[in-house]
Amino acid sequence: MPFVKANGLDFHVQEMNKGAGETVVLIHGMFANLSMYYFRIAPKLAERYHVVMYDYRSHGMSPKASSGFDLITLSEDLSGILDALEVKNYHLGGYSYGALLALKMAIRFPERVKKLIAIDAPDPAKTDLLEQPFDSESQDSFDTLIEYMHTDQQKTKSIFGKRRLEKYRKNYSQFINDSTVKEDMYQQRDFFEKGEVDSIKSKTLLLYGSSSDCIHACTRLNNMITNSSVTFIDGDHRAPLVNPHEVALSIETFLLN
Amino acid sequence: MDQITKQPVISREEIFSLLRTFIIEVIGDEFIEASEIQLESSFTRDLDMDSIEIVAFSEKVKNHFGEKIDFTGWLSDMDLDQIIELNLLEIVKFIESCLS
Repeated sequence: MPFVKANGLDFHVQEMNKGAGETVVLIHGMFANLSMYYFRIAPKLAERYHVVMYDYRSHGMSPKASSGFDLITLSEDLSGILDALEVKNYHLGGYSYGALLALKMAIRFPERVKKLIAIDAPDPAKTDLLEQPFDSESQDSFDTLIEYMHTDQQKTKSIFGKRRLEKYRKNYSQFINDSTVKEDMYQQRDFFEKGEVDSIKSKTLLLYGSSSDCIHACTRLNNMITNSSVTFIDGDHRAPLVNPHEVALSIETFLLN
Repeated sequence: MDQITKQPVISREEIFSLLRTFIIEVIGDEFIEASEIQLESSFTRDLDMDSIEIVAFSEKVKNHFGEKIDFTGWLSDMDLDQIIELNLLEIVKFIESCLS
């Protein structure tokens, strides 16, 4: 598997269509991994663009870390990966917490981020959205996580085998209990209040599920980012997972216009 | 004068054997035995593989066969139901069709 050293860790990185003139970098959400793009969104974008995906620290096939899930450290991870790949400037898309990271990248590295796509970015001040996954004693919280990691709970849960459930339970429990992820995510709660987001100059697409519980963040971001536009797709917060073709099409249309 | 060497044809059994090796490498031989992996086995329902394991499997297929096999391009045209139900025989047939 391809691994790239950055910020002291060897990150799992996938690239498609390396020879293309422009690069699109895709960032997954917290508790997920690059597979959310790998099978259906990235190949469509790779018909035209060089696509780069990676797994966060402690996610997918990247190594475990006990800390560093705040947006500053994660943005250093990603910029280190892109330096190692010699990708100087790029379009950048992120989903959920990954969308907040994409915004942070555009704030920190405005000369490198061309167009920006924030897919169902949550409002980090709405910490109630974060509460349930961190109750590690609760069976409900594990099920909530499984639901968020997969597109159709009834469909996928019914065919989960013992090995996979045990793997998820072990990884989830270790991640929640033995790392600073909860504190690191809570630290971001004033991200929209600091005036940083207002400084984003990149042309930005806010791509949201039409019934997403994060939709108020869409309105806030649209007011804060000067050069932003909004596109809705059918579904809730998981719309990008349920409608990957629509997401790929929306991103491609935005990049071409 | 350059000698043109014809690429040896790989049999269905050899492709299946390769895929079986890839799956054991991805999942780990402590979790699965070769005999449990059949041509009819589906990734999700039978082999209990998750999406990041299927990524690892795809990479092994791409690295082994190179550009002759656009495995992710093939998967990208499927909907979720098809990927969940995908079995090894379908993959073997796809690889055969790319190599023929």
